[in-house]
Amino acid sequence: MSRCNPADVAGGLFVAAIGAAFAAVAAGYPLGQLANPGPGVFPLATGIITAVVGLGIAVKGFLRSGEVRITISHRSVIAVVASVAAFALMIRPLGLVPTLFVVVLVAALGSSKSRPLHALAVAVATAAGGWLVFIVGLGLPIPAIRMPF
Amino acid sequence: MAELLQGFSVALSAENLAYCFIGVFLGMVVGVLPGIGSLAAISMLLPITFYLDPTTAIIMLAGVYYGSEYGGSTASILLNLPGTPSNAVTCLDGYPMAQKGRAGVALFVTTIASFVGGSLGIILLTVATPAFISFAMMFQSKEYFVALLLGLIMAATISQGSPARGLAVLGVGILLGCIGADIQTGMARFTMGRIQLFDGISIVIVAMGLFGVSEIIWSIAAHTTPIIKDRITLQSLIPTRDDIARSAIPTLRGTAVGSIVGPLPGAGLALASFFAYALEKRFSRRPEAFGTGIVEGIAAPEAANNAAAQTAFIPTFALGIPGTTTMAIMLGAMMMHGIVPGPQFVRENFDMFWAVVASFWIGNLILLLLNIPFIGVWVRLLKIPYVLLYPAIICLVCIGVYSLSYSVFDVVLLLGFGLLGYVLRLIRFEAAPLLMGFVLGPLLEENFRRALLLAQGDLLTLFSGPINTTMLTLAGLASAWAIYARIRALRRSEPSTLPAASEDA
Repeated sequence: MSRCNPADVAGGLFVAAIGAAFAAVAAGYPLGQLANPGPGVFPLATGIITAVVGLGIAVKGFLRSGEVRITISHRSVIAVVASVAAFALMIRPLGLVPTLFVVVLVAALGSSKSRPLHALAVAVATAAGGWLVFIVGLGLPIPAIRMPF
Repeated sequence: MAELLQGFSVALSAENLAYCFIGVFLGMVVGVLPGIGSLAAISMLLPITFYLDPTTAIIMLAGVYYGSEYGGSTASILLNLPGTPSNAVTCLDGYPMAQKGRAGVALFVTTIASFVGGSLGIILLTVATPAFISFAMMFQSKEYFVALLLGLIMAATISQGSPARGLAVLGVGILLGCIGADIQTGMARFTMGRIQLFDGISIVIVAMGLFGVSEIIWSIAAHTTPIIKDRITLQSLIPTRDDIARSAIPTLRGTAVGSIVGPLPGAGLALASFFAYALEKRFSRRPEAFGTGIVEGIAAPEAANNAAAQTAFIPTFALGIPGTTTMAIMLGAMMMHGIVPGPQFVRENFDMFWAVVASFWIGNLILLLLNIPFIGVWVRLLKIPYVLLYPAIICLVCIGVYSLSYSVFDVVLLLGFGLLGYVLRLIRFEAAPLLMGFVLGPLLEENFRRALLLAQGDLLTLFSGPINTTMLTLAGLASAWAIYARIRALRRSEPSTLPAASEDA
């Protein structure tokens, strides 16, 4: 058993870093006077308070022991991230239908329970359904299929 | 009364009726399916509502919200897996009932309890909102500032396992809400020179990232395909005379608990159902029977969370201060349509308010009709494996975000918030306060600055005045009680039995 609570230490420092970063940037904005506060005051104050709370959590995490088991499901994280990234990369050059097809196949890799044929069926259904609902039905200005060259 | 009738005439128009149906139907679907919450569903629908009339949009989004409360109990009873966090207590007696072969009766009783709770909640909403508004009329910037501040702090600390973590996440949310042009001077803040950030980050991206993408990552690993043995026939739904007699009073008590807890900031539906269950157990002449599958144990919490779902609208409509994350999204939706809730809201949007209230009645009736005859359909829906669903949900989330302004940058932001949500969840920091801070942060800042201007820079004046003194005193008493309860719980060294309200806190 470890002597500190790693989740609180990591989370507290993470929050403190965000608060400090915002406060540092806000300090460069016009602060005005108290009677007429400028754009920097509110984020500066919030950033400082957030950083202090974050530090407090981190310090408490150092002193107290806690058993927090962190289990990351690498496979699902990577697949979901890759599928959203695929959407971002493909939607402009290739259009909606091929994008959805690929996004489903990539996402399906995230679960050990996926079967190739099932994933293919869902990919075809999603691509067709997406085209019907969003382009035919709602008329979104996204091309259905586009040639990249 | 005349206003309500007028509201019905608006809500019963073909278009509004259709969208009310779509809303409660989708709400039932996401409620029944564990792994997708109403919060994710509402944020997915937000971009679509841009094309709708604001009244219609709110009618549909609200339908998803209270519809999911109906649907959530189905998975609790049949799978011992709450469809939404507020249905967690329903597992305690619902699942044992299903194991005894009484799943049909359990589903029937929860549906009726939900309907009664929801209906009485709407009556309270109808009566209390105008009263709240006359109170809110006395609010000026400093009262708004204090009310928002206290509301946010309560929301961040009450529903959380750890108050400090809730506050930390809340602070991050408020800071993220500062990104974009300053409201008073128009100065670009924290945009890192990116023109896409000038208008701030859309609430749709934040909500879908934190509660859509990260929820999906989380659920893929956790899900197993449910096995349901019973076939639920219409015959099996019919309760005995004894069931009805024993669930009547708990339903009403649950409704009362839910109506009180619903409007409180941060308390939320999960706490409402938990309190109702605890109270029922205390009132009962046979508390030892709770947990073995008795109707009292499912009627009270289900009535409570549905009553709370309706009364949670009171502070949102009357003060413009949402008490829960889902209400914050609703507020965001209204603001996107150019409606600012608060005392002016009901005065200026009289027709809209009453039309939305009328739609609640209609929606509850539709839910009753959707539930009783079609229960078999919902049970079948539960059998769809998650592995077939989630890739399509990812597509919906991406299209929803991309359609905001056809910007790839937005999809990248979505990915960022998805990962942030996942990391927060891994280290057991709840993401809900982040969203509340993000939505309400700009309002907090606006009122803070205006109040300081009016007070000529005197910080102490901000916390003075009869209304502020009352609010601060009440908040002080509440936190003193909370600290006392915590110390007492630590002394007894009991593990905290409060439900962790992850999503719809």
